[in-house]
Amino acid sequence: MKEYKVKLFAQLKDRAGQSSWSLKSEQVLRTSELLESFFAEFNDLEKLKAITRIAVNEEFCFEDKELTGDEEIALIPPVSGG
Amino acid sequence: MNKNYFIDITRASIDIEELNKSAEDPECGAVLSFSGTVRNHNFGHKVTKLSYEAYAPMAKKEIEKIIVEIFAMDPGIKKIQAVHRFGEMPVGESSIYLTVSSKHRPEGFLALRTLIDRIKQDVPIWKKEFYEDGESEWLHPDEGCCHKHLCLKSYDMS
Repeated sequence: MKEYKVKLFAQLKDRAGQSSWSLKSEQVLRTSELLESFFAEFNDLEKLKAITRIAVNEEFCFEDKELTGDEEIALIPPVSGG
Repeated sequence: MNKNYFIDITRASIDIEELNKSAEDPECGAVLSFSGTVRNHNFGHKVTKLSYEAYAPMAKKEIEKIIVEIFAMDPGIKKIQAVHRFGEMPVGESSIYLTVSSKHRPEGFLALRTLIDRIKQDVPIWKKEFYEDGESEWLHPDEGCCHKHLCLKSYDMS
């Protein structure tokens, strides 16, 4: 059993009530599956579902890829810095 | 190593004078700066303060990538500084301060414009506005996502 820990920010963090969320899985998870699972659990975040990005080891993930669970994973809702 | 750029993601208020001083360079005929300040209204709401949250280590890396790309655009660009503040800040204060020092002004203006636009698009920092009526809201622009990266929309479309 692997635990995939995910850092949360901004509205995602407020909604989850904590700065991280995790998913346990027997199987190897892909980045897209992690995104899907998060938004299935918090299905009222409809507006952000399609436009939240995923970062792996502090880099945006460009393609759907397999995770080992040892990475630093973060969900990046649309940014509003500046 | 004497780096030709400086990046900081900080809780402290931004020392603009210091940044202006270090932006000066005898090789550069143009020293440009941009200050993003906390505005007192947004879409008809009166804003009393702002709070920024940063994924600081990644934000720093993303800004670094942008700066490296900008240096590659034109050899006339000699020095770049980017400081973004996070935490709470009142109306009127700078949340971001950028400087570009270049040989001539055309490449400097282009570099500064590119820098702020790319930061707003790709750097993991988020703004929360607090309104006069006690409400508050995270800003997550709908168009803020760059579809080059993995998100569920591009995944669904593939």
